[in-house]
Amino acid sequence: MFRRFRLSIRSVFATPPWVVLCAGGAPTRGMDTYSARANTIFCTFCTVLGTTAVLSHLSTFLPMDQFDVRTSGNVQLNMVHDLIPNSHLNSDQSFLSFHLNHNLSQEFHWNMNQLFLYLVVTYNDTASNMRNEVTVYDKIIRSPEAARFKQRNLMNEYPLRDQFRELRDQKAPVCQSFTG
Amino acid sequence: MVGVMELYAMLRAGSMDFVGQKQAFNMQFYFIWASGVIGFLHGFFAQRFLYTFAWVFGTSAFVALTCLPPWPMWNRHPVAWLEPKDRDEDDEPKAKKETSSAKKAAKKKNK
Repeated sequence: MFRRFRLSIRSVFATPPWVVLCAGGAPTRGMDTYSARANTIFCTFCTVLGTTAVLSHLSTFLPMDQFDVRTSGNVQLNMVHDLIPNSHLNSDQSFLSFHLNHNLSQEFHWNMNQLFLYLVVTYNDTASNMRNEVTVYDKIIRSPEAARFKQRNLMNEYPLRDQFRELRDQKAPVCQSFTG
Repeated sequence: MVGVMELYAMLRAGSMDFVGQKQAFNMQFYFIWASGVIGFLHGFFAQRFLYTFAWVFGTSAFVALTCLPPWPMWNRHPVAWLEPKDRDEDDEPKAKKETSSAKKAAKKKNK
């Protein structure tokens, strides 16, 4: 029993540590079966794919042209269509339209294939809240072509709705954000 | 060359000889890692990670076909077993002792 234990330990340490690391385990000795070999191949596959994925992420920090981000975007309020109290929710809400143009195509590279763009209206210091942020518009950008965009008179997708009835007389800056 | 029935028996048994095991392990190890390096470079310059995945996955599929089943190429170095000793010669002294002791016991009982 004891002798067997010592032998197995020795067989693990007889394998160079970098092989154990890179192949996800020591090559099997003695028990050579379909499942043992499948396990070895699958482990190597996963390790290599994971390594390339990590390297792909790290490569985006390289000071190269394709990883350089030069984006531009601009939002302009067209008009506020209405500003009415929502009696059911007991809150002010407003519908508005805006002009939107952006060029985010530089964001795309081999580790960035999709952008989530959203438009946030921010207004501060109402009677109840120090800070209000309402998302009124969003979209998913799936290609560099779709990342070049210019459109006038876009309606909001979601109403600009206050938590209470405190939206009146607020100056709201609109800000555009996107995440990968 | 290996006959069809021999190949069938080999695949069914599922075992490689010791040299074959080591060769198969080395082959899958170096092939998949090399494809990872090539695929990374290809994907980097084409700026598409799908190419990297295709390289690694394709090579893994190829390796699974070549290194997973115990093809005859992995069974070219069978272990040379020693000739077995003759069983009867080995057992003879033991049998003699048993019989002699049995005789002694019988004699004691008779006395």
